[in-house]
Amino acid sequence: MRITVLLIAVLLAVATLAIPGSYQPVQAQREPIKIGAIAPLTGPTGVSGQAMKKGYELALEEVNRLGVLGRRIELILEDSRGDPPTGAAAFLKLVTRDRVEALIGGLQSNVSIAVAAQARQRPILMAWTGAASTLVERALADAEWFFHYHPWEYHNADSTFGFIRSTGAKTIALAYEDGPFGSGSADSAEAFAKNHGLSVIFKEAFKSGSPDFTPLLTKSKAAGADVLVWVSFDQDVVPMATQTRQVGYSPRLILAAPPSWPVGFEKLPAGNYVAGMALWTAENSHTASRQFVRRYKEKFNEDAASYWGPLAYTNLITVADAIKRAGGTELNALVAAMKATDYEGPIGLPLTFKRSIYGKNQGFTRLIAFQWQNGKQVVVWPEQIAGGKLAYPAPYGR
Amino acid sequence: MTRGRMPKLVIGVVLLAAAVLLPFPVNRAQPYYLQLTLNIFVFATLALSWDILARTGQLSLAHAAFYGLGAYTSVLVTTRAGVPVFAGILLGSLVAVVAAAGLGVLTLRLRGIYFAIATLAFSESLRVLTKQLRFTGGPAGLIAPPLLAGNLPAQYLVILGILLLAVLVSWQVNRSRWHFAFTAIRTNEEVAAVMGVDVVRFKVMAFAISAFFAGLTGAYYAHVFLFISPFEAFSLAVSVGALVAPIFGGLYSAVGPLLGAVVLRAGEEVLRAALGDGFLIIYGLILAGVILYMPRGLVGLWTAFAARRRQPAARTGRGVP
Amino acid sequence: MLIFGVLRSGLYSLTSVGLALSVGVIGIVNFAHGEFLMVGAYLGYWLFVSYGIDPLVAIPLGALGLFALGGVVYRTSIQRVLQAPELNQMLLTFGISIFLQNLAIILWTGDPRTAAISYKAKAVALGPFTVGFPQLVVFALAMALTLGLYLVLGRSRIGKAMRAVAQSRLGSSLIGIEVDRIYVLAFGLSTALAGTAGLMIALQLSASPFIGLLYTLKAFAIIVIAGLGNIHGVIYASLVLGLSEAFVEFYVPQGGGWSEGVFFVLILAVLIVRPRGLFR
Repeated sequence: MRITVLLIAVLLAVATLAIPGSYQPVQAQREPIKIGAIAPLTGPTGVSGQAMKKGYELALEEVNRLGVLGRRIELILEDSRGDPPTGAAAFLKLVTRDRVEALIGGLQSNVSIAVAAQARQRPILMAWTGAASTLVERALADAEWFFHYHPWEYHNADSTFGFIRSTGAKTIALAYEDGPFGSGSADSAEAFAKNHGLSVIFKEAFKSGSPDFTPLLTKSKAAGADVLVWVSFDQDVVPMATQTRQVGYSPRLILAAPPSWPVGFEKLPAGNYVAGMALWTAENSHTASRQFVRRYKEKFNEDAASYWGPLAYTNLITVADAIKRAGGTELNALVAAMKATDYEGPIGLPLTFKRSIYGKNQGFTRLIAFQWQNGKQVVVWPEQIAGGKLAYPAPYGR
Repeated sequence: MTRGRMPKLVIGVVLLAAAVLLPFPVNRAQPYYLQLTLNIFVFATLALSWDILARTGQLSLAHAAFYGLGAYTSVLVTTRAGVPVFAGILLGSLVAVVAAAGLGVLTLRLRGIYFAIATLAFSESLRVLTKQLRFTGGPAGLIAPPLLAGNLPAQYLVILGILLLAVLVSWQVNRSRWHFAFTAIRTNEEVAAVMGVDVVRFKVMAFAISAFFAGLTGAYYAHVFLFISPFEAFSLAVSVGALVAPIFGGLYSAVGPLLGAVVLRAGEEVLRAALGDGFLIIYGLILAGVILYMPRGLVGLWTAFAARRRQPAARTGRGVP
Repeated sequence: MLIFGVLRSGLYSLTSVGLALSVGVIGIVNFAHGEFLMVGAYLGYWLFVSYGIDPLVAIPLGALGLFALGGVVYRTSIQRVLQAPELNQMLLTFGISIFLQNLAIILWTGDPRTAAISYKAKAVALGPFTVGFPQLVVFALAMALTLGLYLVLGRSRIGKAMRAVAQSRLGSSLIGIEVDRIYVLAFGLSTALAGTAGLMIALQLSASPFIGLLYTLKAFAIIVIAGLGNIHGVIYASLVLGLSEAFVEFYVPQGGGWSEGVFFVLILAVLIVRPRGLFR
């Protein structure tokens, strides 16, 4: 008896969910162009997702000042919660229910894979800011409609080692967090290092979130490499900085690459002269970047710390621009217009789409390097956009 | 009684037919709901599997282990040994069963929190293992071949089938003699043993059945969402998800976990729509609230309500906690 | 390496001793333990950033605050499930932990926050070795607190009452001990200890909404290894954990990734072989 009641309940639930959905709103004249976005507004990467949301809002404001082809852009932002099934459902909702004409967003690789699987069956422009894992690149290798903004892992590695080479260092100690983020970089490390004439003489994993890295750092100190490369998340850079001091470990340079930095790191004396790689920092001297930081502060009353903000901004602006150039949202025209993108915005690096190792449309391919100098992230490489000079060897503990 | 049964049977058949045929028109019109329902069914199957084990009083935090084992086995054999996806999924669940039997034997003496922590440790050890070994793809994870070429209605039918099987097994176990054995063991193991119940056999069997479905779910997930990694497949979130729904819906029944899963997931969507990004906080409050005020879950509420409507004298005797 | 393991165990035992107390005296498996620690860490951070108060100095304040918080949480929720099956208790505290964690995310965002305390990176010479000053302080504090707790439990009236309650709830109430009051006290004390550990984490590391779970798990492992309810066993168990982790990280090539596994294998091994704990 209970089972029947239950089955009725379940099916009624499904049915009631379906009914309001099948009601189609009356088509209005000059209705807005709908763009769908999927981002992790909550969940473990929620901080970055929220930064993306703010970047989108800024871009939306700007785009809708003049409109696109006489119409407004309407952005429908869905939360993927960092969860692949939710991401897949979000895609279906955006494409089949909201009938969006292009898809933007993206952060995590696993969600990207789930969304891409759906996108294969319902091709739509996927202008994607997320995923650094080459697994995703390979899964979407043949997709003409997939435009990837974020550098792939190997681009990150390439930039990192390019920077290190520019300092004159020769040997590297590599410590990385043992999840997909850290290990992805570690895998390709030796090969890339060799390409740049460097050698990785020490390589070891650690668990992100551990309070104590002293054994690891002591081993690294014993290896005596010129540069310590530390691939981790934000919370780990604090113990790294303080404990390298404590074990008396002073390499010529400490290069950390967390996706973001903890609040308050700039005040930490132990963090001074630590270098980092990023797609963008708020200290970028590029005009568009300064403008972005200012507008961000005005609108949200907080400092733009994460590169996901300007990346999302760039994402929406370039897609809107492509729609304008294509004269509409027909897929092939849009793809062609996207391929012709040539944009320089708050990120401060030119954005064009070219082939990558496996993919067809790759946007940003390099990172910039900065060094914490007395509380500021001073850009030190590449030289063309440097805002200051790298302190090398860095005076740690002195 | 037979006259009352007929219309119920008809309703049941009609519902079943609807459940099977519905996906096709729904998929044309609103595939988003089909996907949502699919997600819910995955969650519900996992919940049902956990509940079966809970009937013997073994509160496992290891379901992520079986889930992950099912997923990894399936992905590994389908990508490395060219095994077809369906066979891979089946193989995955079998591996989970074997592991569960082993774990069951090892933890026979443990109770309550000790048992829970041991199962958690097992699950986490597996996570570290898959993360460290190159053979399992390391921390980056593995890409899986798709089930039925990503055809959504077809995938839906598969999970519907799995779910119905789980419901059936769960229901049958409750109707069979096993029910008494499980309940006896849960209430007091020593007494059960004295009464002649083969405690070892039933505990291990419960583990096996439970793990079968958990492994099945894990493998299914892998081939539908096409990617697994040690972090996701073996995560505590999976184990916790497995137990939240039965608690919420009502333990030790077939209806409870199913109802709990549906209401929880549907509720999440509603909460998110209403509260925006802070909704998880309510989730915690709800969980705490359920425990405090509705310890028997939704089903418990229903039975209490129904019992009160009947004559106060006619109370059911099935009041075992 | 020995020194690192020992110092690390200081932090571990500090984070676990509160849990040992609540499990031992009340019998509550508090999954939200790590979240109380997290609140303590944030308290430490904000006190430092807003008023310049060093977390060490803030300990009395923090402990009091967390004691009050624990008391409130206890009275409003935990008290009711004391008689309920263990599963319910676990789930209730789990719900509380989700609530607290998400509250923190809403209030303070998910960005970790680090307090730039002047001696955070300071090192002290200990014979031929240099060790971190904060770690030393934490270790000393952990020893002091554990010893203090042990003494309180052994000597003071309240402590004896707690031990009585831990042994038998019925028995203690029969001889006139107000079991309820003891429970509140014990729980408050346990959260105060967690908060103190959190303050130390703000001292050494950073505060973020997500640190709770990691420490809850480690605390559980430690009290299981020590034997549930065994307070001084916590020190030994922390030593075992800290040393074995350090050993693996130091001597095993590529050990960093495996050291996590050490922790879990250890739990499994102990539970299977000697479920009553190694140090009973």
